[in-house]
Formats: sequence, structure tokens, C-alpha cells
Amino acid sequence: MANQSSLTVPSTEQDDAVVLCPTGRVDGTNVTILQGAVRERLEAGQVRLVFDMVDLHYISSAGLRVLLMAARDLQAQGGKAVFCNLSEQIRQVFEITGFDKILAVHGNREDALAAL
Amino acid sequence: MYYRCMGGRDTEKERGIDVLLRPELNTALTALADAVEEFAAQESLSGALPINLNLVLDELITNSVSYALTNVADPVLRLRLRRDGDMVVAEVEDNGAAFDPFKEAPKPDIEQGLDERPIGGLGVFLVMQLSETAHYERDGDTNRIILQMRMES
Repeated sequence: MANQSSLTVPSTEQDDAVVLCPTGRVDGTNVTILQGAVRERLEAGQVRLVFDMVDLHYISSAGLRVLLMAARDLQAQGGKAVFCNLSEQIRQVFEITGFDKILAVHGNREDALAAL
Repeated sequence: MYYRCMGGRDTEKERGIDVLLRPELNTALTALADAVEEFAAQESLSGALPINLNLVLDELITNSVSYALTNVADPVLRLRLRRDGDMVVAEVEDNGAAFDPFKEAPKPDIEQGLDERPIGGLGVFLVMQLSETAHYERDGDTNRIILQMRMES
């Protein structure tokens, strides 16, 4: 049986930024986990975030909303969100929804960190 | 497992999926993933189709469970998948209040910038963009959404 709600968000600090690695799938059942991981960093005053999506295999609109709000909240606090290593499915939904135009998307983590 | 007789020839396994989903999000989305996996194996679906099929049905089922069925005494949520030529046909039914998402859901303006972008309407938009056709019909007390997605040749 597929484990639908499998999502973890390991993080590391690198070059004065925080790299979040959402791992698994994000949908309406587990989106609060991603939301919580972002909020925790915001509350700690860490507003330069890289979302490295290398281990994220699936995202629904529930997850997209959280990414949009995260980018907005970080920007409001003088920070920035950048995204890298999108899977084919995630790249496609970013393109369809125009997220690729309003969010900073990069090919790999190095480029993402450099763009912060 | 169901079998049907094919006019005296060997029996052939019944194809397609027809399941009732428990209207609780975690259970329903897990059952959806299993149904898509089984159907993808039946029909040898390849490329992006299985994940896109899962995504559009996730959006519809999430809306049914989170909105349409929240105040229904005996909620019914049904998923059907079948193949019709080179199309996958998916149907989602619920017995919530009449609601046509393709007419009534807010339409996102994908040209707007980060600060202006409203956060709603993305799910239905994805359904419409990823499906070849997407129809809504009201049948008695049932909302039915019928989608077609093209199989890759």
C-alpha cells in the first residue's frame, strides 16, 4: 500500500542560508509539516531559504500554496526563497501554474545558494 | 478479483477500477494512489501519465472531502477509471451539494506577480490544464466529474 502521507523536511545550514529538503510527497494530508518547517525558520529569523527538491517526488496544489506563501512571507521579512532540483512532475506544475515565473528556480543547489 | 466470460473464449480479467473511497483525506488519497498504481499496471501506462492522473484526481478528491462532503450525513465518494481507445477516462462522484468546479472555482491569473497572486483555484486549474477534456454533471443528488487524459503513443 502506498504511503501517501510520507513527508519529512530535513534541513542543513550552508553559506549563511538554510537548505530545506522536503522528502517524499506533499499533498493535503501532510502539508502542515512543510508549513511548520518554514514557520520554524521564519520565527528564528532565518529568512534565506533554499528549497532543494531533489527528494520530493510529488506535489499537489496544497503544497504549491505553501511554497507561494513561504516565498511571500520571506520576502516580506527582507529574505528570499529559492528552489532547485525540481523533478519532472514538479517542473511541469510550476510551468502550468506560472510558478516558474514568480519563484526563483535554479538547476542545482550551488546555483540556488549563489542566487540568494 | 472478477472474471467475465468472453463468448466462449477464455475468461479475461475485468479491466478498469471502480471503488468507493472513505471520505477521510488520508485514507482517500492512499486508496487513490493504490487505484492509480493498479490501473497503470493494467493498462501499461507510461511516462508522466500515472503521476498526472494521480495529481488531477488528488485535487478533485481533496475538494470533495474537504468541502463538498463535510456536512453530508451519509457521504459517498466514488472513483472510476477505464480506458477508452487511447484515452484514460476518470470519473469522480460525490453526493455533496451541487457544485461545478469548472464554472464556480476562482480562476487563477497566472500572469500576476508574487505579491498579487491569490492562493486559491490552483487545484481546479491544474485539473483543466492536465486533462484533455473535463466535464461536470449533476445527476440526482450526485456531482460527477468526467475527465479524459490522452495515453502516450
